[in-house]
Amino acid sequence: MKKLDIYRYTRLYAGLLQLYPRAFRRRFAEPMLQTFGDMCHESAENGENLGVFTLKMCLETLVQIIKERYIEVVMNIKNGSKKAYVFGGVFAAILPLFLYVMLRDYRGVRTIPPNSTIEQARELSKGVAEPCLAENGPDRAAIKKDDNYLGDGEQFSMFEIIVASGIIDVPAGTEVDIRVNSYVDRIAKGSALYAGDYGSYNYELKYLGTKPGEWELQSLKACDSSK
Amino acid sequence: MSDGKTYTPLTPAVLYILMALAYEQKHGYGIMKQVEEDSEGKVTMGPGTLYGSLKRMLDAGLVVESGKKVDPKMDDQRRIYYMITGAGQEALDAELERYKRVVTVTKRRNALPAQG
Repeated sequence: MKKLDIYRYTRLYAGLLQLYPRAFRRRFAEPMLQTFGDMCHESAENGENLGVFTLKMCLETLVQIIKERYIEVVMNIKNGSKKAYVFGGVFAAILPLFLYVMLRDYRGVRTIPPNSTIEQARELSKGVAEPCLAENGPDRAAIKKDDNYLGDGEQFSMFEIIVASGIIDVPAGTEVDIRVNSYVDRIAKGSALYAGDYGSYNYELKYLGTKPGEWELQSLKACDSSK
Repeated sequence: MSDGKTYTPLTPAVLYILMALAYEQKHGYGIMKQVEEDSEGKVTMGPGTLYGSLKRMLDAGLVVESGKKVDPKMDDQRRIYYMITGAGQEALDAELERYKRVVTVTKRRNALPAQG
């Protein structure tokens, strides 16, 4: 998965390098790509989000591309070349388009606000999903202990109801599999897998800690249960 | 070209790259890691900044390419190594001298920030 991601992001970065002036590109595109690949591997080893890392690197490089293009245009104007105006104009025209495409495809996982409708959740989930968090038994037990739960009865249902309230118009009676993945510093993370066509979501829930059952839904993100 | 003072003051990126290359030749990623270490993580540069700076430094004769080699600590890809030139070393010495003078003047005026 990571290797495939690195390959994809390196291809994207290679595409960006095409915007450099030809002379610069011929001289430095190969070592820049190697360096980007090395940084990607390090970033993956450190468990960083490769999409966010690539976006940062692309923005950093884009600033330098503009700088190099500006230097080229100034030099060409000094030398009286008409090409400078043509290149400057073309570059200014394609830059916003490139930024749009890059940001559209690599926007990362979006948070779905609590109390969203299924339609809103679907719209916000389009093309973006992370793997669903798996069940981790000991952390479910830790929640019960911290929140003074005695069992899976009514009180634990409150936890589940708050997770399920992320999407408000799922028909009553729809089964939802609430999984607890981790519970650290009163923040519970896990996934809610809805039966039928209502999607699956990774949630983050905060135990407010003043009385049992007092939980606040912090975030909900579309997840893919097949990953 | 031989007068290192011609290049001062250096930009932070150029200064750190020259420092990274002062003792041994390095490839791009190696330079990046050395800069991060030398600056205690305060200066981090992406490939755009690094190679933009290297281009200007190559053009100014502060560094030269020293050929393609495999880094035994990394994978088996051949990487371009860069090394500092005499002019680069002079520019680095001149910049460090300039910093020293700034510190001396500041000390004389008792204007250094309190330690701790």
